[in-house]
Amino acid sequence: MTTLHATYAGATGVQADATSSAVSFATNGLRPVGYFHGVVQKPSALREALGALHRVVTSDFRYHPKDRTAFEAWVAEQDRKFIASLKLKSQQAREELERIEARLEALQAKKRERLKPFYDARRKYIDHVFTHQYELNYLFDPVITVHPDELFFEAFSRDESTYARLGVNHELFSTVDGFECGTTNIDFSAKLSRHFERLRTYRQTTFDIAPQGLTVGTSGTGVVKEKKIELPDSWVQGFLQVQSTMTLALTRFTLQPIDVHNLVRFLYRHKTRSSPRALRYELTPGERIRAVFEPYEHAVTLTARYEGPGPQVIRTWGRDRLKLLGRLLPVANRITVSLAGFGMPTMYDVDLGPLRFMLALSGWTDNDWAGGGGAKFDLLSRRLDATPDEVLRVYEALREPRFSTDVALATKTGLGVEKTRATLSFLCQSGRAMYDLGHGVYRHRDLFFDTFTLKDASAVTSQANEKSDPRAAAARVIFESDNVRIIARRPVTTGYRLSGSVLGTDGARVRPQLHVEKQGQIIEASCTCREFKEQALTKGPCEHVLALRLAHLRRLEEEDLTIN
Amino acid sequence: MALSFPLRLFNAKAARRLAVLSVQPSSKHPGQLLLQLARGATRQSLTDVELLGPFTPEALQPAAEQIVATLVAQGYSQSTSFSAMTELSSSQPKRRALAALALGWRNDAAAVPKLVQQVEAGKQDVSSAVAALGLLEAAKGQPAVKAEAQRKLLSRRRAGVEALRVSRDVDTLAALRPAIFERLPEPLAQALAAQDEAVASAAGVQALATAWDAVPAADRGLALDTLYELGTPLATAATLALLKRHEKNEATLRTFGAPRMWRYVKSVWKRAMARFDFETFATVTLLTERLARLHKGTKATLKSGLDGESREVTVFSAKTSRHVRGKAWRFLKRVALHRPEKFVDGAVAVLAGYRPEDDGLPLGKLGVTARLYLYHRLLLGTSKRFQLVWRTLVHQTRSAKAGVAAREEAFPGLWDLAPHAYVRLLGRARRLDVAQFALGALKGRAADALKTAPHADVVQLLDSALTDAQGLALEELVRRFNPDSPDWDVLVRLGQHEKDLARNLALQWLRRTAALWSRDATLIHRFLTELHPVVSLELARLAAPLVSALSAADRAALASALVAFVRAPEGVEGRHLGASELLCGPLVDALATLVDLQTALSLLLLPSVGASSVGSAALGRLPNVLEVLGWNRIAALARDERAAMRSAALAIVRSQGHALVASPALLFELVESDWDDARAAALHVLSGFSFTELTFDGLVALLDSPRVDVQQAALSKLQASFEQVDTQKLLARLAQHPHRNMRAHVLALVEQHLKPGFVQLSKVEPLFRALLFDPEKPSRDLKKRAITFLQQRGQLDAQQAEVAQRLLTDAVRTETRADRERLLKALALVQLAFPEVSVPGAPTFAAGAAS
Repeated sequence: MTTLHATYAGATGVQADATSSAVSFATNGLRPVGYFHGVVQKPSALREALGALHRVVTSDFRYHPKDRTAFEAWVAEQDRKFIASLKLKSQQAREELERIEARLEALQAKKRERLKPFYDARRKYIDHVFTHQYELNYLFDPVITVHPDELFFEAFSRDESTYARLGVNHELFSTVDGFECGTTNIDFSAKLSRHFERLRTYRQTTFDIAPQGLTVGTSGTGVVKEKKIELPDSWVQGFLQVQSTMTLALTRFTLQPIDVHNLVRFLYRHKTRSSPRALRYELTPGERIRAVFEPYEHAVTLTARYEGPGPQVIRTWGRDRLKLLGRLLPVANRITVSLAGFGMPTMYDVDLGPLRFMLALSGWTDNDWAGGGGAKFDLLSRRLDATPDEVLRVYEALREPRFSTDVALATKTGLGVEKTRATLSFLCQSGRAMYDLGHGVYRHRDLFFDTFTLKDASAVTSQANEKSDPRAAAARVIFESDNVRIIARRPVTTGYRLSGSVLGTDGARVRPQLHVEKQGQIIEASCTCREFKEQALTKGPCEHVLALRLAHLRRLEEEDLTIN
Repeated sequence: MALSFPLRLFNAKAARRLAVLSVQPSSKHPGQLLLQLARGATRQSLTDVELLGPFTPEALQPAAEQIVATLVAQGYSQSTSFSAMTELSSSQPKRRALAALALGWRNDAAAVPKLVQQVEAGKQDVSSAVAALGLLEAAKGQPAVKAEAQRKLLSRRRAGVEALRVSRDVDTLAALRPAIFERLPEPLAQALAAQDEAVASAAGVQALATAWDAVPAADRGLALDTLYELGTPLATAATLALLKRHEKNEATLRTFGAPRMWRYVKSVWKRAMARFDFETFATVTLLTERLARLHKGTKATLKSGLDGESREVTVFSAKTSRHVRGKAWRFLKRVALHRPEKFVDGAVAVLAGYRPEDDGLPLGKLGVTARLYLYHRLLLGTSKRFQLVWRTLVHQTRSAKAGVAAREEAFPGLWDLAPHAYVRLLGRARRLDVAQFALGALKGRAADALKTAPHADVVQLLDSALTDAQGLALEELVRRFNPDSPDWDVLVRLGQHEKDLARNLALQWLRRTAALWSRDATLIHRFLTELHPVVSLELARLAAPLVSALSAADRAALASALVAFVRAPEGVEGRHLGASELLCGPLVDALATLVDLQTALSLLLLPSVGASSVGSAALGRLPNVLEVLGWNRIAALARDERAAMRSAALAIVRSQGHALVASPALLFELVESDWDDARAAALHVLSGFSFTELTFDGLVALLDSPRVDVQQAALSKLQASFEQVDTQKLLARLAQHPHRNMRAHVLALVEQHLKPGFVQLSKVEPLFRALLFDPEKPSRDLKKRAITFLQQRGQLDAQQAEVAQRLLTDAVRTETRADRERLLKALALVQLAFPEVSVPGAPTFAAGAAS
């Protein structure tokens, strides 16, 4: 558990009068950086995007068993009555009992009716208390980052299975009065959606990100709200795993809003009560993509055609989470879908003009990004060694411009491109940077309060150095004991295709196959081991695949050095 | 000194050497007693029996003394006293001790000098001699006893102090008090010093209990015993409360028998017996009985108080618990024989302490109550159905065939002598069988007891587990109630009761006697401040129309007293509600003079709802409140989550809100509040604004609300002033409304009022996109109307055709068949009308497709 302490001097909200409105985000007073002031040009798109972000933050799609207490009490009462009636021998007694029960029922109905105002008031009060307390203790405030070209919000859903990133380009603002780059938390409450509903194009809308937020109290100063939220480690890990997934090679295609409307509409109209509940994308080169709802086998033919090299069928789960995109559809231009593979995360990048809304869904709802499922997508990404000094150099090089491509950073730091990518991978996995899938750049983003030092950098590299993960450690053992052999290594347009032979730590020889990007990230992998047969890549690659990649990376590094 | 029965007298020279004087209830004269004098050679051959009387209980003792005097004149002397006096000179300390106690119990004043000698001799039996002097109430002024009371050894000190207490030696006890007080641990001593020890108040007991918690666990036992040794009402009540804490659960019960606690608990128990404090006695005895069922003792190395040696001993062993149970019964038996008037008090305390949870599992001849030793002894003491297994002290069923006898309790005669005990037992009993025993007696042989029982005991019957008992109590209370001259104390007791049953009766009586109490401001004040919050609130509602009949002076005095009451801490939640009902109702005018701004604000900030309501009402009555507070403060109050705070501010908003016409920002903020009352107040004020005052922007701001109630109010306002509204501007704005509720209204307005031309049509595009792309709760009818409208507009001119085609094309690939067909048809018709207009992605149609 990580305890997030947040102190807000104001509240996030929208203050609207007849002619103007002000969107104010209260930032965590305990983080001294970052502010932004501007005037919004297109508030209606911003309204829908913020509304969607709010829905993500408050959503929880986990299975919640129905409360059957009342029903069970009723059944028990029926049983009791039945058993009581068995004991009654005379007809007269039975009639008397029926009469009394009827009278009792009438009295209870009367009682319920009389007490209804009380029960209603009590329910309202409990709702009020619950909502208030829920916000203070459980609602994970989004993280906001101000950059020179855009500001972006990142948030996880309550069930930690959905990650949302709302990027707001500075083009959205007619004027930007001032900003300071930085990352912080913003106050978010369950009632915010009503505030956002008041944004309109015909009112001049100012947009502020500042510690005081919307101060509606009389004092105008002092702490309005203090939050102390126990962030599960999975939440923090989730942020890191999302970055790993973003940098993977993904199958992408672009949809029209009506396509997503059709998918979401089907979900609203059909509540699936039995398995399988997958949404199956059928991708045939040159043909329109089909999205098939299981178990109905209802196919929706999408407007996009698949341009990939070969046919693919990718099943995704937790499809109800697509409902979160519902309110964006009237204002969306297009939606780019990125699929990581069977049972793997899926990303929906909604283009709203100057706004981009990214919805990243984990493999399935109960499998959060890091925790319960034990997903290790970071293992799929780059794993070249880097020294703490190199990590710190790249961090500093990224911090100054706030965002940059890997090639530009490599030039700036004087490290090789491969080494820079590896270092960026470490930074992403430690919460110091993030990968912007929409723009294809790395961005500086300090998820944590403390400054990044050499000590932190060495912690990052030592953690990332296989010791933290048993599979990665096993792969290192295999690699260093020379138990991995590359049988074939063929360069392809997307990177390399490899096949090898690996003697595992359990003494069994297996045959892993690998398709890696030029950057070293795994696109596809397979192995003849039992672990892969059971889980495929849903929980990350097996030790044999990782060992084969290590062999490939060593060879790649040798080639890099030769070229340099 | 009172004689105790049966009294045995002995004359060695007479033929009938033994004479036994005993007491029996008179069957002919209920409530009166007979003296039976039986004589014979031995106990087994008492042949000559003579019945004397009947006597009233008061006349019994003089008559008995007269008979004894006659017998003494004939050469008889008290037999046991005679032998006990002889035993006092025995060489064996045990025999001397038993003899001393026997003499003490028998009230044999003749033994006092010899007992004093025993004490002064200071041999092993000294504590028994001191205890005997205590029983004889003859320890007062005895230097030897005082010396014993100052001893370090607990057993000797205890005997001395308790003997002095029973003998009412106030001066000596006062002299000993500083030493006792010194032994108390610091937190307890401080807490005690801050309380009035003569009053056993709940707050005082609570304070002492809290202080006891602050004492280190190892010293708590000694602290408990020392506290009890003080013997003041507060210390005694606190000791009892602390002992009762152990009843809570198994864990707390186990601490009761823990090594550094049990020794002192046992000391408290012995003191309780010496003082005839049956409540404490019963509590310790029953706790011991319960603990013995689940705990077999703990080994610990403890230092002996007698020789100072540390030894490993078993604390609370099976033997100890058995001894306690046995001794408890022997004590009660002795009380029955020698202090008969006190026996039923002890029996009631013990029987009332038994709980339904004390039942065990039945096994063979052992019933569920088999292990409840004193229960059997007291309630089934003369029953033939059970027999005691001495080794384990359990009662097993003797014979299944044996019927239930009419009277099975021990010492039935003593119960008959004190029939009010049944009422007390019925009110306190927690076990149904115990309650039924008392109820049976009250319905039969002691039927009159209820009529003469004190009010408090009758009221307590309402707590009984038996519905019949509650009925009896209600019946009796109703019988006693005289509406012309009611007993207000009883009424208050009922009105304070935790049970609805009692409070409802109190309310009935209050309604019946309203004409009496409503004339008396003091009585109204008493009721409002002392009764249960629910009753107090009802009373206030009853009193509201009647208070006006009071004189102005009485009203002012009542209002003043009630304001003082609500300013004090509430204590129990809702206690201020009744007072606040009156103060905010008929007495509200008096608030202006009684409560100034500062007081009103301080009342508002109190956690009591009643006090806040009074503060709110007072604030609303203050002259120039708006000038004093200003709109900013009023706005802050109106946002508060407490209803009372808001009501003060909202009252001002309602009455003076029109002043905000120039800058209505506060009203627009309140109209979006989460609180219904705040929204209602703001809407109330805004609905009073004319269109000119509200302005077009103001009206749109209301229509823009995400709240349905505000939207409806704004729509009504729009309807009323539609002629003055710039319709096109309004439609362009409302088209952006994201709320589903507004879409139907806006579409209807668009259909009726949207001016021709693509410029206007473009402005309402967001509405059509929202209608066509709503996947969650789309309206088929609205979509149909929207498509038709776009189709019609698209057929009018090329620019509108372009707008319509773009919207229709974006949605045409919908999976909803009916919509798709309509969209295709509309697109075909628009394309047919203006074939030169093309939109990327639009489907193309062959000629005549639309038909």
